[in-house]
Amino acid sequence: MSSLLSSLNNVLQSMLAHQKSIQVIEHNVANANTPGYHRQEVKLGTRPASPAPTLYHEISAGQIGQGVSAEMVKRFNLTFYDGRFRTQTALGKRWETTQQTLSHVESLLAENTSQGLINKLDAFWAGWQGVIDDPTNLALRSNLQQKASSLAVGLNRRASDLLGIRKDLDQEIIQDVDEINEIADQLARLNGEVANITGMELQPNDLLDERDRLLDRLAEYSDIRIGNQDSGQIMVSMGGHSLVFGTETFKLETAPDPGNSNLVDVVWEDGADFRAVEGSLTAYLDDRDHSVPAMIAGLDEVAATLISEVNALHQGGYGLDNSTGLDFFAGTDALSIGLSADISDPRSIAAASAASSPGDSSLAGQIADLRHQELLSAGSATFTSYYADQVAGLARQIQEAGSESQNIDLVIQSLQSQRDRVSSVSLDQEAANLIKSQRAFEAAARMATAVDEMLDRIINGMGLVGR
Amino acid sequence: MRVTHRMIINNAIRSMSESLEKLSELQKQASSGKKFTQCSDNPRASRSALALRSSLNTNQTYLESIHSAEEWLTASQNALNEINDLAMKALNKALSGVSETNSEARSAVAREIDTFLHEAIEAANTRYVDDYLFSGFQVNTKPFELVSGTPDTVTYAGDTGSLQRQIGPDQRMTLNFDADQVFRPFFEALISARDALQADDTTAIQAAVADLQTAQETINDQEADTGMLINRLEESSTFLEETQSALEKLLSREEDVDLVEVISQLRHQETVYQTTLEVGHRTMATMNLFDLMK
Repeated sequence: MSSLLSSLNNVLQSMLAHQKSIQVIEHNVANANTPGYHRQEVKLGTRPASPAPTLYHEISAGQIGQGVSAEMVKRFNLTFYDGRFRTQTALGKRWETTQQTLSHVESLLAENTSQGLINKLDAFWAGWQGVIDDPTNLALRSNLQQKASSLAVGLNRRASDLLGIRKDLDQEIIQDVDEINEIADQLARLNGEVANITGMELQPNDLLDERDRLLDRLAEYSDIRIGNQDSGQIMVSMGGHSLVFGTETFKLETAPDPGNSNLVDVVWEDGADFRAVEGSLTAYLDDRDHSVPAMIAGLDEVAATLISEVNALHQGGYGLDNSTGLDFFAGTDALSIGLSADISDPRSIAAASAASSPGDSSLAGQIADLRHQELLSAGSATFTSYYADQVAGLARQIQEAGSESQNIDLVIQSLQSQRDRVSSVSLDQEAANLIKSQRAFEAAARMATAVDEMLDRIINGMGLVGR
Repeated sequence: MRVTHRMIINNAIRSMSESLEKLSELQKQASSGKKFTQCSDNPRASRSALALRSSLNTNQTYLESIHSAEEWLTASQNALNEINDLAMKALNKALSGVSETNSEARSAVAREIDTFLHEAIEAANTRYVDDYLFSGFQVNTKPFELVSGTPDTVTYAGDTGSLQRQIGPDQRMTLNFDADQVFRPFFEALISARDALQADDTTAIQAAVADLQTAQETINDQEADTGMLINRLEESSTFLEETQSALEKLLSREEDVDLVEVISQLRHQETVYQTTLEVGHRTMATMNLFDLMK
């Protein structure tokens, strides 16, 4: 049965509903610039009509509506774009990270400057060439020592820098793993809160925003798969292993691997192997264990070939002081190569093929000829072409990573604008909605006045005929 | 399509930063004159540039070797020339000694020839920088020494080592010759001519003159050979220099920018950037409905 008092109640409900709409609009406008914020809107619905049909209901005209109520606060999101966005983020982050790391390697190699290793190799051969031209000239011999030493130092510096990069990458891996574990904890906690609130039939919209932000961040480290669970909870898996399940987490661990120069190995806490899929973690692991070691191996091959070939010839030659059987280079690889102590006296550098032949420089000639011989890469490349190929290979990797990352960036941008199309706040729309709700609120208030006047008429104006 | 202010602003920011990136790239090219600063900017061109630069360096060392060999050979040629002159003079003197019948006059000629002998030995002991030109590998040892005796002899302290220089990949050149073989007959002919003149022995003088003639011819041939070597070096040097300039052209084509093109692109990009800024400013200043609400 409807009464004027229930009308007053309807009007009140209407004012409350519109006030709630306005509150949500305030929230939208306030968060127009908050990253990861999804626009919200109060869903209005009619309240159940009266009377409810019963067998013995009062006979009167039709059902009469009972006004409006705020049914729920809707959050505008598109799960489809979220998943695509995260997959592309993981891809993009991998290439971007690889590009950054390898560009750093490239700038350390500094091959496009006068300090490049090929320049140093050329100077080394030129040093020998000088000795050929005038084998008794001590200044030219000292010059050769200097050039050889500069070449050795160049190799040392590059090798130790690259080893340093491997260690830095190791730190990045540990940091990434820590971040992943931290995010997993937060996701599990949010799952708990979300379940509590959905249990009360409410919409934990801001918590869902928070959770999406965390998932976006998590996707930068490695590609993730997300599954829905009861009461709004989600499960997250990474590389085929569960990371978050409800309020439980499965952590990643890092342990020094003695088989890999004590750099860390990433495993799940239950001992399962971790397989990163895309993301920065993949890039770090890949660069640390493949790209950078390949560059080090290249430098080592240059150094080792240089040491063995030059020494083999040098040992068979004679210095100005008739010394023979001496090494020119010491060491075994790029990190340890240096001038042998045997030739600290420039007179001991062997240029002659026979004893007591100061003017003979035929041995120096043989050594200088090494530059044209294909001694590296199983006899298919000269020193210069081998190292230039290494540098060009690295450059191509960087270029490839750069263009991949650029392409994926375009995809990410378009996905982001798809997401923004649905979720981001449009101030015009909010202003219009504000006017709409404000007008409705005002109308409801006017209704309240009308009902109030009617009540006033009944209470104060009825039964006073003739007075 | 639903468009929001955030999308518009993000787009504006993106266009501005892309435009600025292009501008900075062009500025870098214009100021450095190079198409790329890192190999990864253009792996193909930089791979060729690395190889070309190394070839330039290598050729440069060969050019230096050629120049130093040329200097050595020139010094060697000068000494040979001097010895050849002495040989000619000695030959003329000895011939005049044959026609001379006066023993006084003959011993005067003998004294002159003795001077030539000493001068010739001195010339054969010429040094270039610190090295003796005509002692094979024994560049620190004075090669020829006149030892008194009956008759006087000349000793050779050098060896037969041939001084080889690299004047190109797999190209070697021998700078010296067996000085003992070339000079000794001359020295010995001088000694016998002098002694024969001294002894007033016409037959011996005639024999010595014949020897002198052969020795002078040998020296003359050697001088000519040395001249040929110098010519060959000059040819190699010209060839290498031509190669160098061809390589430099190639290198420049790989890595140098066309300044006219880059600067006009830069101009254009500056305009584009300015326009982007203006459009961006206008977009961001766009009013929204809130501005009109009273």
